[in-house]
Amino acid sequence: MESFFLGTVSAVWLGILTSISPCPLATNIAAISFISKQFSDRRRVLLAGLLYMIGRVLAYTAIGILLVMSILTVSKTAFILQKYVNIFLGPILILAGLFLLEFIRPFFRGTGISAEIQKRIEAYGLRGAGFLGILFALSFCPISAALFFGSLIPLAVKYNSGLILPSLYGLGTGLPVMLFAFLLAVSTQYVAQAFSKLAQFEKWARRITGVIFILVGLYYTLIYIIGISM
Amino acid sequence: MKLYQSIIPAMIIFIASLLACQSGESNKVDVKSEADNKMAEIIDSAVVPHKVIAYYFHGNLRCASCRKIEAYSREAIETGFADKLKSGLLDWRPINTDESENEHFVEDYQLYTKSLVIVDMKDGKQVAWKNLDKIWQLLNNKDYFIEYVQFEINQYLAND
Repeated sequence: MESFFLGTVSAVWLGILTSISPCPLATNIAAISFISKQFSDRRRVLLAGLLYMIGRVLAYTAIGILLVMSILTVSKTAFILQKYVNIFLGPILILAGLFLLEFIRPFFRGTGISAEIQKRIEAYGLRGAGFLGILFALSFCPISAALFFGSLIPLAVKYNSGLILPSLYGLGTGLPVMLFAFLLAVSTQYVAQAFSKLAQFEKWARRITGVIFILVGLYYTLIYIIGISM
Repeated sequence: MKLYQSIIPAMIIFIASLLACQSGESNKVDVKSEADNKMAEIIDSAVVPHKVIAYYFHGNLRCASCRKIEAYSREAIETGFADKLKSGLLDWRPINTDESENEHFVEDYQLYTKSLVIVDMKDGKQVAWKNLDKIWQLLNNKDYFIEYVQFEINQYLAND
């Protein structure tokens, strides 16, 4: 029991280590800006952060269960995910960025935004945080693949724990992002309040998030689709 | 309109900086070593009593940490085993697993990311192999990294 406790601590620590390593930096920046963009409502920021973490937990748990039960093999899963998810990541982020910048408006027609439509967009924003969590968790880079497939999965196999240890790893990968997003949201809120321009600041936060998404999307497109080595 | 004006230059600068980074860093893959691998495989098929091969497996995409791992591994081998490299007892082989003829290595050594694998060969046959998976945890400590790689290779070299 004591050694399983050590296993759980290791799983969280491996997750944190993955999150603070340099290679997921681009996706972490995108996630932080997405979660904190509606900084005036702290509850909303926390909820978005929580959904982002749940998304990550779900993704790692699904892979963890399949690997621990030997339904999938480690090397094939690792290489397929690294090869294909990252290819889709770029275009998806660019599209999401264009949506955030309101270049694309797929969910409503007309010129004015009614309160109901505004609500629907906000709901999409929250669901988007969960979706981002899943997508970013599945987009493995060399370090995250080494830590997840090389350290976490052997640990999960050792304790026959495809559910708990990968979940804790997912929590660990989401924690630093959620913490930074919340701190950013709180500090931006103070600044915006000091200038008494909350709504205007929030409009810009959304635009900045859109630009960040497009830049991160271009970064992934250049590397994984065009094949530029960086 | 202001939004467009600010986004477009930002994107141009971003792409230009990426391209500049690309031309500066452009494939530090050791072309000579890649070519040497072919020759080395031919030599392997000739019977050699004992030999250790250090493979560094990478793909087409070369991240900063991956380059660091390759550089540290090479340094560990060249500084620790210059005489063994010369005598052919130890071989250093960077391999691109994205090339179709090398894809089998992924299955052979159960690879899941860029990896350093050492192989013990006796009489032309592989008798043992080990994925030095701690390299990722030692990435930020060059001395320990080099010590770890040299220790593991020494273990195999001692199996004479």
